[in-house]
Amino acid sequence: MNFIQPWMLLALPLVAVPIIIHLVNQRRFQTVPWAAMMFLMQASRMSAGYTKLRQWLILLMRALAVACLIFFTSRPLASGLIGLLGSRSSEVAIVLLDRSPSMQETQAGSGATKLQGALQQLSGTLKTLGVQRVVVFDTASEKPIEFESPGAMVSDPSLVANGLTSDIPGMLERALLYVKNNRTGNVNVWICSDMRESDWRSRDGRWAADREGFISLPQEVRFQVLDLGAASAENRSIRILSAKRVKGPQGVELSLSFRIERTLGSGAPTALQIPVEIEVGGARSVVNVDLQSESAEVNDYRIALSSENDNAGLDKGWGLVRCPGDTNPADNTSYFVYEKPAARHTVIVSDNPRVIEAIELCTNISPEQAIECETETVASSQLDSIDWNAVALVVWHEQLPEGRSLELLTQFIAQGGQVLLFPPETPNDTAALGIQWTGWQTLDSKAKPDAESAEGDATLAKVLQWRNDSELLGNTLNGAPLPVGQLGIKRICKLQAEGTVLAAMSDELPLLMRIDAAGSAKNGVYVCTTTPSMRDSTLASDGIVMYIAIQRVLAAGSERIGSTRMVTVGQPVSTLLDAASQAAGDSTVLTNQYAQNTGVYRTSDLLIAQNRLGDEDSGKLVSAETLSSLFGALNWSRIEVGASAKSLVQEIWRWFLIIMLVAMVVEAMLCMPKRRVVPMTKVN
Amino acid sequence: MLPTARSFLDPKILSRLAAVPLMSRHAMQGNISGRHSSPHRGSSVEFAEYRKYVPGDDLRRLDWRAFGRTDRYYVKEFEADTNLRCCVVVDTSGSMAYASKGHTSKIEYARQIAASMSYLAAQQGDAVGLACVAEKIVQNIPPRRSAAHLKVILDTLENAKPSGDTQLPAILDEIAETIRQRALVIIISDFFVDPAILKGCFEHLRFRKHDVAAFHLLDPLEMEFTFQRPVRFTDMEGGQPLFVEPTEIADRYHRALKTYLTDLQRIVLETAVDYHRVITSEAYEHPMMRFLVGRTRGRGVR
Repeated sequence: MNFIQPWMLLALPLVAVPIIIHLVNQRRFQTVPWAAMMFLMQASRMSAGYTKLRQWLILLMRALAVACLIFFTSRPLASGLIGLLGSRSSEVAIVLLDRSPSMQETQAGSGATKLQGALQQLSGTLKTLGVQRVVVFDTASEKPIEFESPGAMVSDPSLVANGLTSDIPGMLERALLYVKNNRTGNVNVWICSDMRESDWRSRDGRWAADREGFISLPQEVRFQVLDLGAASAENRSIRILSAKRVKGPQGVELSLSFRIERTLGSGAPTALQIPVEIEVGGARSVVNVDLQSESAEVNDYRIALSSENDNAGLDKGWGLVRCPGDTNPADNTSYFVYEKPAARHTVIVSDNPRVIEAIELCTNISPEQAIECETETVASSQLDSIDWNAVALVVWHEQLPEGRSLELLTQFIAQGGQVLLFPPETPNDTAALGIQWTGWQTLDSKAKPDAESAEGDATLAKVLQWRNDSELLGNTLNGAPLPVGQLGIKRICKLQAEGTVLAAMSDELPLLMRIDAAGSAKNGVYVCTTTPSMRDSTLASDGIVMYIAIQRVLAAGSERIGSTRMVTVGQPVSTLLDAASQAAGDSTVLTNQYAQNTGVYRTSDLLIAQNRLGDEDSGKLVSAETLSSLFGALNWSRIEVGASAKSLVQEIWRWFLIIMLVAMVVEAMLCMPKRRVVPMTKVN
Repeated sequence: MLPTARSFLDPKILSRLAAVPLMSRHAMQGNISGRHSSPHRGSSVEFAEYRKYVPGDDLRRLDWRAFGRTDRYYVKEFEADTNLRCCVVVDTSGSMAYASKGHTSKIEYARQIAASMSYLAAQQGDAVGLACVAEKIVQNIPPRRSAAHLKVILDTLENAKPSGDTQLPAILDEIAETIRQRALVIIISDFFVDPAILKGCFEHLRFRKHDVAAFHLLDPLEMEFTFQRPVRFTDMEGGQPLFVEPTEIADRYHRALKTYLTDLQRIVLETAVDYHRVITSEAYEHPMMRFLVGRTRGRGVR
């Protein structure tokens, strides 16, 4: 049991007051000489046990009444999970609010969403604890949102759910900064979340920094994790994978790929058929998808496009796929846009004709008939003359860029452009884009265990390991791996860089890397430590690997070209939505919150389909062990929040009031004088 | 005709009480003629019986008319009136000193009753004696008829000081044995003794053919027990003090008192004791008047 006003407990010694009064009263006796002692002796012998018991009961009831009065004024709370929260509560509470789409799941029993329920319960709890001011952090807004009273949180329009996947470590980082800057006293940090791994990002490197930061604070910070991740009824989600405008036998068609996933409340999955509604430019069609297990994927579903069903004509348009309603309406719709594919423009910066030739072969041959590919070769000094808006990929085979070149390339990368770097013949000390070449190294093929078994030139070193699960060297759609192991590498250029190794000759010698931007975020900078030159490798002669890798990076880069974008909420392009109009989506969303919500938005230049992050659909939760390791030595507790309770804690002063009244009534009954025996005063 | 002025004697009250004679309920064996019935035949005007003449009888008392009718000698006998021996027993134990605020102490009340009773008895020619008793018989003045004897009694009463424990039962037994002839025994006490023990004493006195009267003196506070604050009661007869919470104990005190009085009432009825419960807030004239008037109704049987 905890108390909101624990200092009132200092008055507990007052419990002894009735006993002290009793003892003082006993000391204030008068001495009377008495003749009729025989009656007194008889009376004292009569029911002495009961009298003593009654006297003790009266004292007990009086002490109990005083104790209950003190407890009543101390405002006791009934909750074992809140710990010593009440005794250490401050007037300010920090709330980290998960407003991700999964928080829109309806709670069984109450009908409210998890977010609404959490706000309601948290508001009641903070009000009960006497918190005056609430500071709310969420992923959508950089600055904290301050409320003068906990009740104001519930109805505030800025705290409704959105399509943005939460970033709990990021919010903690900002909360730490707030505590430091504002020099708050002891503070309670409430984290309201449904414990999705996508929101908690347990592998994020910022957790360690956050943990250390909070531990080093002079004041005590206590974390209360309100776990809203309780199992609910079955939920289905739909997510668009791709939407392409293709030329088919019937004419122009829309090729759609989408995925349906379901999270099971309890029990084994049962096969069911889900009618998926597809809306393209206002025209609706339904396709039934058989869902046998936890997920189903529909690839290349063709819809014939006609000029009547799209305002923008055959070249450009938008649509959505929707599955029937369930417990979470936020993941039942996914939006897409399509347009006539733009030409994939590649810029090669190199002065080596053989390398240029090899790369041009890879960039000029289109993988699809409808896509045009073109390549332009320039010197590094001619970068200013390039129309960067049309460029999808820059292949850089020169000294690392400096000055204006670096500036242009950085801007290009920031806008979603892709850059593939090859080492120059004689690398200098220049460091740019997070890398620095350190010198060529000829590889000793005999040291490689599988060198002889590899096809082709058995004397060349082979790629020892590569990532076949994603990105440039990932398996093909039918699951076949790329023949990376057949590549022969004669020499590689060593480098200093931080990034993700996609292929490597050994642990120390990477072959292909993706350079990480600040905060471990992905960006479009790839570096290959050898060249397609015959002198360096068999990348050109065994060209399939290089062709696929370059086409993949080219496809990624081409997404920034054209007037349509399919993005996830929170990507940099979302900033463009401040001046957009909504073409599809939740009409109740405020215009200044378009960037945080799913839907189709139209700007002056772009048609943008914005969807939630794919991880939102997985339903993977943070395990208790992971949560424990995330908080480490911090003072934290986890509270599982149900749907029915109005508040996480309840004041139980009423019980003490009732007990006090009962004690007073019992005391009054015990003190009530008995019907007196009428003395025989009459004579004879 | 009072020898000296006494604080416990009021001439006005005595004059009112003197209007009612002090009568015995039973026949008394006095040694002179008096106003009380005697168990013996005497020379009063009240015919008693005929009996056969035996040699030695006074021939003047022969009833010649009866001889004429029956031809036998009969002597005509008349009732005898005699005086009584009044023995006043006053309890002078420590408890008799008790007096609640504004009331007469029990010993003073006892003095008033005893003195008045002695005076009335002496006035009508009865022999009066006094016994002041506590743990033992403190003062014992045998009954005598002289006016000077009354002075001795009054002096003794005046000098009586309440002290010591009560051993009333043993003393009453002793008195029952030591009074040689039938007597009116007036006991003035608070009787704080177990009624069952008192019953034996009263039966003993009655067995000795004494006419027993009891004035039971009780203070109003002893009856009401209206204390509020905690009180440490000290025993006036030297017993252990007792600390009590009056509000806690009052009901049981009254219950014990009621039981005691009920038992005592039953015992005095069974033993034919002329019992008078007296609250000391009452003027002593009233219980005495009740006592005297009650006796005129049931004049002594021979």
